[in-house]
Amino acid sequence: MPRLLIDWAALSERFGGRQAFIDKLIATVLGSHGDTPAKLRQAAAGQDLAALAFIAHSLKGLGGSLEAQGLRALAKETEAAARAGREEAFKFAGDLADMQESLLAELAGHNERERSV
Amino acid sequence: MAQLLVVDDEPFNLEIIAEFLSGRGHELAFAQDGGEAWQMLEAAPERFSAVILDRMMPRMDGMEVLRRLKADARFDAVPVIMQTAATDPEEVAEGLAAGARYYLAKPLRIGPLNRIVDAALAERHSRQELTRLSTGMKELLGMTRHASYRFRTLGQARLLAATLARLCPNEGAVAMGLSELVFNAVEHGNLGISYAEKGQLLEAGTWQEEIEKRLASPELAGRWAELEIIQETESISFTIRDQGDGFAWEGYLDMAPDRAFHSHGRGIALARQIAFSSLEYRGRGNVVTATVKLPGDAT
Repeated sequence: MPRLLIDWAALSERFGGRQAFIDKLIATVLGSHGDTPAKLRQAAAGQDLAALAFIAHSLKGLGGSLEAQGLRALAKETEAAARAGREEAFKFAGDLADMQESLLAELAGHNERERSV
Repeated sequence: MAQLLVVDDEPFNLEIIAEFLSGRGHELAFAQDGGEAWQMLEAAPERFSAVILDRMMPRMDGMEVLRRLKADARFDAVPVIMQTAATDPEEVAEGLAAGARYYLAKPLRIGPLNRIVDAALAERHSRQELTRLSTGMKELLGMTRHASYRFRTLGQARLLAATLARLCPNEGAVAMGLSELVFNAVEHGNLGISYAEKGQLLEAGTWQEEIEKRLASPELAGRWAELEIIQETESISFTIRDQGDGFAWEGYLDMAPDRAFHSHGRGIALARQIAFSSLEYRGRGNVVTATVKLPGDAT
């Protein structure tokens, strides 16, 4: 079983154990962030540092809100590198896109399980 | 019912804010970027009691919305709550300088969000009350050259600030600044409530109760504060004295980014920055003189 990116217990605590709201929030994230990995890769391929910084900033917030601290940390590092104009921002962007895909899969799996209960 | 405008380009953040504020009696409207928010504000300038504003958004960002709000007198009484990452003091300092009085650290948590919204709405209510109280006194006050007033309660302090601010060309700002100083004289000076204690009382929702309790206590009931006003041709000065122990005022003269996320503690810096041409504490900090320069002959 792959290592989980989200601390589900902390997420539940953050939202007072309101599972219906957490499910709704996850559905929103799946709807609004499904294309974020592709956008990240596109920004990296086009060497668009401003776009990279913006997307990474957004994922930093997402990681914090969903208690996905690994995503938050990598997004923070990517944003900082992009703002500083460092080459490594493009490598971080690829890693971040991969991690975001894993996060989306984890979220989708969670909602699948919730629906089947 | 307070109407709040929540501005954020992330749908999940809008949902989190709506969830955290639900059941508090607020009516929420949402915008997904600064341009949409500005259109909504322009369309109905009286509609919103406060704006919760994300900083980084596509098209028009939060700083631009903040600048527009602060440059437009129609929004003088609308407090702005900026959302930002707590780890970036430079961003906080920039927002404070641009006129944001309240900050929310992301990721959001329910307690701080509700406390900051409550504080911002209380400030708006207080400003509106100040404006209402000050109507009709200007002519009589214009004849005053030297007067002093004793006060004990926050109600008396509010009345004094609202009334005497009428003498000044920048009345709204002076009413706010003066009320900060006279409130400090009562709550921190005479009643001895420390900065940290106030934070705890606000968090527990017992601040007002504590004020009443201390005003009635035998050892503090006899204390009063005094506001002395001297009106001259080129300036008006307000000197406020209290009977407390004073405080280390030096740390409160400027907006401190590390206090930006607290629900209080910005009043003196804001008063100094926008209301008065000078603000000087004396001695141990229980005497302060604030001066407003007049544009010409005030007689």
